Amino acid sequence: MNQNASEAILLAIESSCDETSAAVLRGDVVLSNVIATQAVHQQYGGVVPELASRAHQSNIVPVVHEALTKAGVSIRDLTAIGVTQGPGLMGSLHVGVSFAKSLSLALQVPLIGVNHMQAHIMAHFIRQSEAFEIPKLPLLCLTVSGGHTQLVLVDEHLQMKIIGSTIDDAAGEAFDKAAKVLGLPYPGGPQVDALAESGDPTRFVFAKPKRNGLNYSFSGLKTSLLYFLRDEIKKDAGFIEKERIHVCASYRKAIVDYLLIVMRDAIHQYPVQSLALAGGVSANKELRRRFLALGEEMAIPSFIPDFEYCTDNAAMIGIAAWYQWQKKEWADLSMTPQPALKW
Amino acid sequence: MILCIETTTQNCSVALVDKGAVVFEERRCTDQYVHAEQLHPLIAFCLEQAHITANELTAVAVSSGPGSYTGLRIGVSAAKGLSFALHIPLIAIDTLHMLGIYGLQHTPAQTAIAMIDARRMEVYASVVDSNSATPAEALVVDKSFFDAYDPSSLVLVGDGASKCSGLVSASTIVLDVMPDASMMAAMAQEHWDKQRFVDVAYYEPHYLKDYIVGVSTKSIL
Repeated sequence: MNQNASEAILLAIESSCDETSAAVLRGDVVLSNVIATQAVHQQYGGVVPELASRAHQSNIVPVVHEALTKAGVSIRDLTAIGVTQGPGLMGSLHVGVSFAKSLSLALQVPLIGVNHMQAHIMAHFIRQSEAFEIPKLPLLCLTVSGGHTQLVLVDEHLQMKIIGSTIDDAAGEAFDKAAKVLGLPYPGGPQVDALAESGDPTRFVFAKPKRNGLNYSFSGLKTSLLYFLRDEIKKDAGFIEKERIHVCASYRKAIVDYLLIVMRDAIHQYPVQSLALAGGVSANKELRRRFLALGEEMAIPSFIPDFEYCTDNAAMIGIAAWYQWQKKEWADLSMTPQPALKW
Repeated sequence: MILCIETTTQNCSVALVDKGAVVFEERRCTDQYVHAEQLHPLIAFCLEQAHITANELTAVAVSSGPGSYTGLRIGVSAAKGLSFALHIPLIAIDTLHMLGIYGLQHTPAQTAIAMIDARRMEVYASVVDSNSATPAEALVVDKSFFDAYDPSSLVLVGDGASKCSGLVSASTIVLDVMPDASMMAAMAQEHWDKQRFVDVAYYEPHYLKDYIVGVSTKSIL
């Protein structure tokens, strides 16, 4: 890294789903990371795309302004602008991309389009403190969120290969849907996790998903829970009320067991130097504990970013943009949002 | 120099306005929405043609709708970004009022009904005369709507006008035009002169229709 790169100041914007976020980085150090979570969706039990886009429209300027102010950076000091190009909701992406393009045009600085899923992994390369050592490559990352479940092999920064992914639901969806049938408010995944902490994970056993190479499938597990609850409710209408914490604990265990057994297989197949966890579900307490235990057992350094870099946030977009900026992977003003962006 | 942005229909257009007159304009109008791809290159091209940089802009004006949600998102986000980055005022122009004025200026009519197509038999409409404009409303148009107006001094203007042509008398003028950034010139200048700006932090376009979400009540178990 040259002096120039460590002094570069990037503004990053993330608006792919229901979080409006802006961050300022100097080199690989985060100066600010402001996240506005849209509360409007809670009453509907899920993200409503039109409302998400409208909320981004009203949040974008205050959020970017706050990110610059917190960082103590003037907009004229910016070296480049990074923005989520996809994947995500089209209406939401439009707001961030169009706004970012205007900043690039007005300030005459490069525009960088970032892949949101790569950025979740790049979050591990944020220098969180002076003493922080960024993970050695190759790195194996398990990315788990409401929309994705992927095993990704990172050979070089930005050079990533998906070696396994879910063929149906994402792990986060499996948690959220369980929460819904258990009568927990949206977003339910974190609630299942919280309740599971005081439950007995061995009380109930759910069907183990079939193994399919390094790929995942969560729909069977989800159905298994649904049928299990139907049967139990027939016998005792108060079943959920009585056994909720134990159902949460047992179901969470089933998901985490499955996530890590496949990851273990991947570790045996690829010579990796470090292990990483990324995405919103990496906030799950049981997953964190068991992931770190797996790293210890295999004697491979394991990394989980700070919580604010796990869920959707602009700092991760910023760090990915910073690596892209150094390679001059710049976009032009005709860049369009890509709801199903791949790499 | 004021930059005007108009993206409420599939016509994506920009204009540079100086002292109320258009000095440069560009547009892309196709069957598809090309705004996401084309708006910013069009702005850059206009600035280049006018031999100025973005720094020399004094204000940004945006057509505030009603109209296509996608068009509005892209246009308003772009206008906010420029206003915010350049520290220049943001001006919001009522799209239907602008169309109505255009209709009155380009025909002998005394009253204009500005109409933007809102699909099916619906239009977003506003009645405009030289003094005023009624608030925009989403209308299902039928013949009786026009009874209140003198057909011989009426103009229907906008991309929703032509689907009403069968409902009005032959003496009524039908001006089938898309809203365009060049139509914003006089109003943008007037807003600038009167310092009528909107707050860039909190401004939202005129969606007109509240978005109503159906909440599922179906039980999974």
